[in-house]
Amino acid sequence: MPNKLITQENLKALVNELAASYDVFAPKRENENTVSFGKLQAFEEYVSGVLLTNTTAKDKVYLQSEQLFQYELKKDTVEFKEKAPGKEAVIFGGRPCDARGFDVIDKLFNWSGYEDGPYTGGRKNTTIITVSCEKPETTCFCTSFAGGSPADGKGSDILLTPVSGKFLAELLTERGEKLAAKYSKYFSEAGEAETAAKAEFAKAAEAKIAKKLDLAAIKKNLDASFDSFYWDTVHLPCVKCGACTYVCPTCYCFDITEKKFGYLNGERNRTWDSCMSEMFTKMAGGHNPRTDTKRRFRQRFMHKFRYHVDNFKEELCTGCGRCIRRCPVGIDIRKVVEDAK
Amino acid sequence: MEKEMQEIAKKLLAEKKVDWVIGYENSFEPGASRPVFINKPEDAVKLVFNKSCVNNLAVYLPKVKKQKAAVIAKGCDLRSVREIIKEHQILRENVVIIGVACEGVESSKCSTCRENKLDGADFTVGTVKDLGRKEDLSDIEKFEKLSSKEKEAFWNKEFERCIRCYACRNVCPVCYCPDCFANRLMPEYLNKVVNTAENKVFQQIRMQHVFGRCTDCRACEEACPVGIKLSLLTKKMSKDAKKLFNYESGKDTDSRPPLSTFKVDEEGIAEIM
Repeated sequence: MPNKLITQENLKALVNELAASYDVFAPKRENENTVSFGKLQAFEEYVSGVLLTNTTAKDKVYLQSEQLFQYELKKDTVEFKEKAPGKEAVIFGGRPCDARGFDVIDKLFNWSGYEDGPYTGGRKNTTIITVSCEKPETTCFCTSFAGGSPADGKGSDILLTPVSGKFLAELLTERGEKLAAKYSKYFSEAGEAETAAKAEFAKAAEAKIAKKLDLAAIKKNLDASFDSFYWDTVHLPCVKCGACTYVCPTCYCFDITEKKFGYLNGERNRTWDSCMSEMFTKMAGGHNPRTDTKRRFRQRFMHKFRYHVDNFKEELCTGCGRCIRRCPVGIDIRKVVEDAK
Repeated sequence: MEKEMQEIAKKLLAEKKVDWVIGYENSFEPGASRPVFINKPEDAVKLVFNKSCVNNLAVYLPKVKKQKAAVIAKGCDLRSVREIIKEHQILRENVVIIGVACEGVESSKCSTCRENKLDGADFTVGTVKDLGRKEDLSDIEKFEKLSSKEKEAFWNKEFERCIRCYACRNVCPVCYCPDCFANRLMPEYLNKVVNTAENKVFQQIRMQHVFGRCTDCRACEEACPVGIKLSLLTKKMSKDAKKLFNYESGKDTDSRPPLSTFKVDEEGIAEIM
């Protein structure tokens, strides 16, 4: 598919038109220091200058609380009600690391031939329009991962990269092509010059990311360090809240609970859960294999850079650095895994 | 100032007076810092103190209670240290308090700070200056004047964002319950479903639990990953504790928190009945 071009004005008009017929989620200001993916009424609400929103776009597809079904006990039967599928959505203005997060958890929710209904349903309903990053932050480390870049399109349907006052629009999936075809009046054809300019843009942005993890060495060290004394002290500053896991674009662990409305009816919900929480591994009989904070802390890093690599041949991390920024005590995931021995 | 702090820490560790020194070290970018636990005298050089040292390190003290720890404390943090000594979460003799003369960090509380004195600290680093700052309750008074409907609308908007990561609870020096109501399944006080109503229930119960114990240190607000304005609640609670019970949390280590005692004639209460 040839690349397209879209001007600033046309992008504005496109987003406004999309907002009329889809749920458009984009970085939106909540208060003076919070920008999160919120439902956009008009393009003016979109905050373009912020690289890292406080939370990720993950929760627009993989809801923090998902109702699986409602039930009601009738005389000699049980009646189930499933939730109606949501409106078609567009996630606009996310960054390559956010989009890549979807690509990572797609594999998990479609693992071993099992398709997770609520997640894949939401995913099929959502078009992701990402914007490349010009000025990465000090906490960014997306280039550590295979193919990771501030201008990488993995997980996006359309990737917008600013080139010569316009945006180069790469249509990366069928969904992206469909959307561009539907709103073709806003797009023009891109030439080779713009495509070359994008490559330059990517190179310049990548060069601004100072930190690059040696993932092979980290994996090797983590493989050998489960019982290491390292974990005895490194976890001490961690307060074991779940901020890091809930702002992460790839953390996917969940819990399933019931909510009773009365004796005969209720609903079953899936809610995000966090390995940092003591309740996460507590079993019905009261036993808890991860009682202490050290084991819970170790699990997060082992899962991301060791177990997930064993199972999926890629890390459960996209290098967005949100966990570093949002951690109340400044735990730096890069340092924790690099120092592990 | 940092050098002095490092020397004290090094000496305490070398002489085995403490097992840990809890302070601040440089973090991911210039001008950022994070809490650090130090147990080797040679690592004391890592300690720093600057405007980014916002964390209230008192939160760690109940967790090291079987060991001895030295803690770097600003004047405001010292109030939390006194409060948890008062509540028997740590023994005074197990804590060495290294007070630092602070002239303000990057926190919303600093513009009205009158708490930088270091009374009761074992060591004092730097010279405490009178910052000449005044109490400012105008934001609370303005909020109090809103109608119930307006207040509800404001809090609904704030707690709609809450992701219930419990960072506010976990960084709070006086939120040390080993079995928090929010984690209980039987009885289930709080459903795991995250929505505005449940989120508000969580914060309402938490705030009620810390009333008269909260020192308005703002650790919860600073920790919140979605920027919920919790200081409106903590500041209001401090104001009410003072007005209703003439009580200031963390002022000393021996007075009783107001909700843990009972008086037949509570002077401040009659007027709100």
